[in-house]
Amino acid sequence: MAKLKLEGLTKNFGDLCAVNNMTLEVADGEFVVMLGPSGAGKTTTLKMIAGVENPTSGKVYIGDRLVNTVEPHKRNVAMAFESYALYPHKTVRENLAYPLKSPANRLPDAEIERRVTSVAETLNIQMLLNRLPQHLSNGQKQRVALGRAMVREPEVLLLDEPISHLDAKLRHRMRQEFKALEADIRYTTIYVTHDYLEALSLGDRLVVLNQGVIQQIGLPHEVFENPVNIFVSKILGHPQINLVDCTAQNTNGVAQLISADGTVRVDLTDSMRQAIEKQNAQHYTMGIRPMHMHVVEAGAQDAVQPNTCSGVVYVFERLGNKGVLTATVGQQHFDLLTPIEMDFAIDDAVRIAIEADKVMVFNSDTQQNILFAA
Amino acid sequence: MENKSGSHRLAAVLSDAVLIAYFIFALFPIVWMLLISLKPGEELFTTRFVFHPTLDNYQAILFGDPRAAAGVVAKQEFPRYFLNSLILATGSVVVSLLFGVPAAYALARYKFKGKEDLAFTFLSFRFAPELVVIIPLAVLYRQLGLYDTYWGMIWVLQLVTLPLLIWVLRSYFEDISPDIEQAAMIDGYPWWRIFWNILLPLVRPGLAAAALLAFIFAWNSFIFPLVLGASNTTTVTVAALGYLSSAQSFFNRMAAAAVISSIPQIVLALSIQRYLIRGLSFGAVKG
Repeated sequence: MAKLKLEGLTKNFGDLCAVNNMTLEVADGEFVVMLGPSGAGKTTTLKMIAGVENPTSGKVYIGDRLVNTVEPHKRNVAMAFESYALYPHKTVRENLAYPLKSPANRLPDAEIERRVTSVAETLNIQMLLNRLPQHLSNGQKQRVALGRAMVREPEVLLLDEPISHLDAKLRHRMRQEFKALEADIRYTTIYVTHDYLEALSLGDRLVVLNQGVIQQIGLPHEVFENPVNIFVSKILGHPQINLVDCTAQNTNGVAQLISADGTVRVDLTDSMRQAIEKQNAQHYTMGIRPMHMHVVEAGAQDAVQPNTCSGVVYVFERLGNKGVLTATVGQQHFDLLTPIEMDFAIDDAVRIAIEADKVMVFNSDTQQNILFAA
Repeated sequence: MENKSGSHRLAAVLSDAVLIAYFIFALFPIVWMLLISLKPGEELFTTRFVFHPTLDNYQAILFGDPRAAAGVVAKQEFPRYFLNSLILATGSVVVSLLFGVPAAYALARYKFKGKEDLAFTFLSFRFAPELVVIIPLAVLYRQLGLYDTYWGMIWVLQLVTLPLLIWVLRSYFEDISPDIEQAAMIDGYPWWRIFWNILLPLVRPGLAAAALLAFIFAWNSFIFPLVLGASNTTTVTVAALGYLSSAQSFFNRMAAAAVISSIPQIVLALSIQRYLIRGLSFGAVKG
């Protein structure tokens, strides 16, 4: 185990900049989740840490050692590949044992056997040990790939989408397994994913990446509640955050954010007013999470309450323990989370209340969250 | 429905018939060669399948002919020519493997300037007629002292064997995901162990097939040993020609020589047959 430090790490593939000036410190034993869409540079970052890709510029430190010129097999880094990268001509057992038989990590045979058995049990693949990779399902291959990384005691553990190809149930179990493992072993780990649930549940810290640039680093729930920009707000949460183009106006002495079509009005809180005064921009984007919008009784239509709007039901989905209502309000579609007991028919009129103090405000030009508290 | 299955059956029968016809067409010359090699000289030109089979021809080329007519060349020396062919074909394949495997890997993996040009140049060795280069090569070989030497022959046979190995193996290496190599590096292995333990086993079907084909092409090569070799390096292909002379044409002995010459190729092909079928799928890498 060791701490890991990336300093101005950059990787260009021809004209394409895959990773741009990335600086990140991971403490000894810390579990960092790297979240980003495909093409964000996550895998390239891992490969540079492992040493199988050479950075265009920047430095990689493992412990206090600068490892830029250290060959991969001398770095003591383990990695699970998203493509599994199993050795096709070796059985599962041989695949798992392979890192332990290398000149760099050679262990006695009895110890190898013990570790292979134990990791196979953890991942529930003990009945597959004598099979070749071509006879495994994708989920099984992925568990073998994961096992091959976990069987060692590396200084840095790199996991590239390690559970993305498992079925939903198994993924959930593996997520818990990781939680338990984290508490147990505490390797310095970088875990790459595009699944926001993994990102929120697993990491000590979350790094959000887009187009090779780190957008935000923080505790998972902090990043969720306080995203630095529109991109980060969109990547976390499902259904996705509702975004509305709007302007800040004074109506009858009340400062409000008003959507472009005038159908959505949200009263400003004090902190919003201050931030907007400071920004003084033309256009803003309101961000409202689906869980901060609620359907309210439509009884008192005439007495228009603040922070509400009217719409019609576009579609309603029941997803087991909750419902997702998509409503058309003016020119917008809003996604709302509703309790499962509610029921809506298409084209029903609904009245929607917005929790004004939970609304995020972004500057439309810079895409930055103007309420962001560093 | 019934019609359809009926026409299916008809198509199956027809395709079988065509295959059998082709099979006879392709194998008949070989059968004919085998028959000729068993015929005594008097019955050489009979076209009926009735004759008095004899092993005299085999005895003559392997152990010498007690009733040899004067002026007939290259008969009891045939075992030596066979050995020559074996040495040259094996040597050529070994040298081609030594240079071809790394070259194929480099062409598959690395990006470098002029890569495709280089690959094409290798391929062009194969489709340029040998006769085009044989005269200048003969002059060069005489001046360099490579004429009629084993090394000279092995060198020139690289024109035959090397392109084949490089092009077959290149596509096999391209099929292996770089992720597998990178995984092995991260697992703690230096590059040469990865090459030996991971890559070579994965390209083994291609390696076996290409090496076998290269061996056969080198063995069958005629122009190069004819022009660039002499008594030291005479191969079976050149020696077989020796049974035809202006005085007498021993077609039956030539056929016997050809039959014996084909034995190594057949044995090799049978022994590595299981690699010839591309057994290993690269299923461990998705995509």
